[in-house]
Amino acid sequence: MSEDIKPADILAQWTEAWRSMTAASTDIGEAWSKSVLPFVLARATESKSGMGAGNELADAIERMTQGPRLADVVDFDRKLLSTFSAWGEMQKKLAAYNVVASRAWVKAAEKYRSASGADNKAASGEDWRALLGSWTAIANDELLANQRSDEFLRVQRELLQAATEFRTRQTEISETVTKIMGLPTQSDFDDVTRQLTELRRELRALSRRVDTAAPKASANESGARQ
Amino acid sequence: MSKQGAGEPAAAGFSEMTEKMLKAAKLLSQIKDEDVDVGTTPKNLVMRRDKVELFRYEPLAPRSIETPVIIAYGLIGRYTMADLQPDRSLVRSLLSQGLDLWLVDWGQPTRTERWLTIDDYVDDYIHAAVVRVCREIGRDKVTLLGICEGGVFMTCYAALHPDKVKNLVLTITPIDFHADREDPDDHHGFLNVWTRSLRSEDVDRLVDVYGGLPGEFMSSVFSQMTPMRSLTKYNIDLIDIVDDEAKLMNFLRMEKWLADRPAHPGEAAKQWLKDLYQENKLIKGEFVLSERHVDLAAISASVLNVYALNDHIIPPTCSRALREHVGTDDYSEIPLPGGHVGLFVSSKSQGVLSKDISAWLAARD
Repeated sequence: MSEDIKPADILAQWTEAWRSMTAASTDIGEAWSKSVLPFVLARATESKSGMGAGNELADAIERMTQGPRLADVVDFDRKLLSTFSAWGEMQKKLAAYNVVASRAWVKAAEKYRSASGADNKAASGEDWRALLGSWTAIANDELLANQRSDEFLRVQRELLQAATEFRTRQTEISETVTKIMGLPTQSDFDDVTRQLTELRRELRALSRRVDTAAPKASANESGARQ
Repeated sequence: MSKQGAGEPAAAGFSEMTEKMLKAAKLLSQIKDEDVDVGTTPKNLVMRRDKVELFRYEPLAPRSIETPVIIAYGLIGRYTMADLQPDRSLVRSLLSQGLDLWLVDWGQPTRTERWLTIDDYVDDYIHAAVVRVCREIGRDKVTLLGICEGGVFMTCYAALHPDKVKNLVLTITPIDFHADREDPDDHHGFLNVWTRSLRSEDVDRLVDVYGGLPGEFMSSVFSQMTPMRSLTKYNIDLIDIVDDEAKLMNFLRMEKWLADRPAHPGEAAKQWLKDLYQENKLIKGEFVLSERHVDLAAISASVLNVYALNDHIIPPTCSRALREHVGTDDYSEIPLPGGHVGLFVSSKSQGVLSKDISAWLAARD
């Protein structure tokens, strides 16, 4: 039996097994990161039972001074998995995008080959600039036409969606780290700038009202004096 | 023998290119960043409001038109396109025609400006600039000159504050964001097609994640519109001009302008992409700023609408649409040859645009 098995078959089997395992582990990671399990585990590791009960405030203070604990680690682990999963998804979308984007180049090459073959330009030793010029014109037209196709726009949109999802999860990681370090997060910064913008708007609206009211008031005042 | 003969021009060409590449590398290593200067026409800071600055240009000729002109560029890119270098500068040309020229520079918005809306840009920054200019020169009205997105801001201002605007000059300004469909040139309007291909929530997500529309991202969308040009620019094109210092410096200044692309403030970007590009609210009279509908029919100022016939970013049909909706009877159009940026920076268009604008303004001063 063993003599019938070729090295190529072993390699194929091994590759298939590896692919299945990778897919399964990604699925598990995704399922884990999206389930309520990490949250429950985090809560479980934080809660005390028995003798520890009743001293929550002291524990909380102690935790605050100690920094990351198991709950944070579990949560961080979940976020890492989630980011990894988003990265995998983005790579998939990138590959799909590249397939559609590359079609224009293939088409352009075919068109160029048939055009230059018909004129026999390359064989005639025509100036390389003229050859480049005709290649550029053909490729440009093909790329532009491809970009406007529904399929291209769809894969590009999906890539953008995957990239923003990945970035969102990356931000979650950075926010977790900055929180652990006791630093303000990006969300904190956005909150502050939002408040600042709103405050500025209110102040300026008030200032405009005062400016408008002032001449009226002084006109009324002088009218009353007369 | 014949094969060798056919290969000779290619070999000679290759040798010539290699020589030029070496020369280009040497030359570029000697040029410093400060040598590539843009936006150099002398101007003085008059007012600063947050990151927005109001400048007044120093005169270059005796005043021939009294009504002051306020220029505003969009939030995608910088105003320096209108003042790239002394011999390619709309600003300098207008000053040479005797105009009193002011500039609103939006500065370099970052995540800090995430919450600014077009309402803020129109009703706060532009309004403050108009009020300040009027106060400085003792007049009630000004001329507004908007470029691209800046043209849309100026249009909205003219509709919301008709009592403050004497003339409205628009250049390469989109008004009907869906009129690209009527443009016969299928190389035009990719930006419109691309934006419509996104879902509304994609735009929200993009802006929320980055806190704005990243300049780098918009650059890549613009590069996509001229794909082969983007690929050959730093090799073939650059090497071609390396023997000509003037052309090389012009190339580098253009690159500097292209690289100077700040992030578009977040909430304003959502309005720009969703309300205008996707839903086309301006032309429908549904665009709301500061709780007021922007009604194009309320524009009572004289309007000059200049567009580029080969504008692949803002198709001419998108600009020309204003004619049907504007309130004033004094409406003029000037179609000029060239593209979106070429209208301002190409050697062919120099002087043409400024002469047309100043002649039109002189007739209404």
